[in-house]
Amino acid sequence: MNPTLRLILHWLCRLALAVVFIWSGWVKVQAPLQFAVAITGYKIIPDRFAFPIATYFPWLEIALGLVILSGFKIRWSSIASAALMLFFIVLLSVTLFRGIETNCGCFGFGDRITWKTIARDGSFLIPALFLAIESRLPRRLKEFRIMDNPA
Amino acid sequence: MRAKIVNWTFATFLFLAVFPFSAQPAEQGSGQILGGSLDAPVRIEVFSDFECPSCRELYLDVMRRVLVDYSSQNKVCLMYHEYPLKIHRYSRDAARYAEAVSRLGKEKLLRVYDVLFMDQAKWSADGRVEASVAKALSRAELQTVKKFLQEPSINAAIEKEIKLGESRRIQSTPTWFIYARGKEQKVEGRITYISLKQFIDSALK
Repeated sequence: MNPTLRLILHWLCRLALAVVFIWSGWVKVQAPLQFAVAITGYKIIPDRFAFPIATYFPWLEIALGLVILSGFKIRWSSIASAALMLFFIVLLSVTLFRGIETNCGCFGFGDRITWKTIARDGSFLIPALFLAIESRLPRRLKEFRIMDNPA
Repeated sequence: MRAKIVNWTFATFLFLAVFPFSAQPAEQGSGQILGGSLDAPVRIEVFSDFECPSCRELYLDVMRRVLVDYSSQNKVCLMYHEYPLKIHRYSRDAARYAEAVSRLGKEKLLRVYDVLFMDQAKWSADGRVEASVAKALSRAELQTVKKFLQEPSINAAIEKEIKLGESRRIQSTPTWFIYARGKEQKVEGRITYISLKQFIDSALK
């Protein structure tokens, strides 16, 4: 891949993922009770865990977004974000299959779980997987030049 | 190392710039105070419809327990706003009765709320709201309530509540506004008592 294109894609994916996680976390931090209502709606965990999860989980999302933005341990942070996205996709799919009509609670609190919601969350897997794979390759442009023009 | 510091600084500034921290002052609204007083550390305002099944569950499972566990010690001020939805045939009648009964005092009002929600399935099917209200009042009190119902101020009070709800962008019932530590949270839907209790306890610490 062209190194410049790779650099642009790398930054686009990092920014996209960071914005998604920080935004998603921040919306929930502002309204932990509404998020607790959304968590309860999934009918998957006991009610007593809904509020503690609603209080602390959004900070995890924000932290993940900031780590991705900073570039620190980018491979591991992108793998973690891909795993989190996969978890969301499975959770949404299971809820939809169980016939439970509830709010997603993903990026706000008005959107019902549909296949569109699942597809949207699925689309965020692409930048996470790209970063996880790309970060294993040599990082510096200089290294690409050496690889393109071996002595 | 330097690049990492620059990255983290950039990330922190971006975060603070995009998401400024804000604390909204609690507003004083109209509505019926069911328990506690306005100076309680937590204030909960509920926009509810007597004919809505989720509102019924919320009142019977959550609000009554909040009244007993917190409002009785003035830890939580619980306010009720009438928000009869047009899709419900008799909810406005029920709201009119509740508004009229409120003039007899809080104790009678709570008894009427109890029977209206407990008998919801009954009166929402046959429209006999008065029969349910009568269970909570003496004959003389019911006659007084019927007199109050003739007054235009009853409808005016309900209209005022509906306008207040519209100004707060109520889209469904029940909708809660919870004020604690100078912040407001809007909550749509049915919350469980345990989640609300955990929130109130954390706000009271």
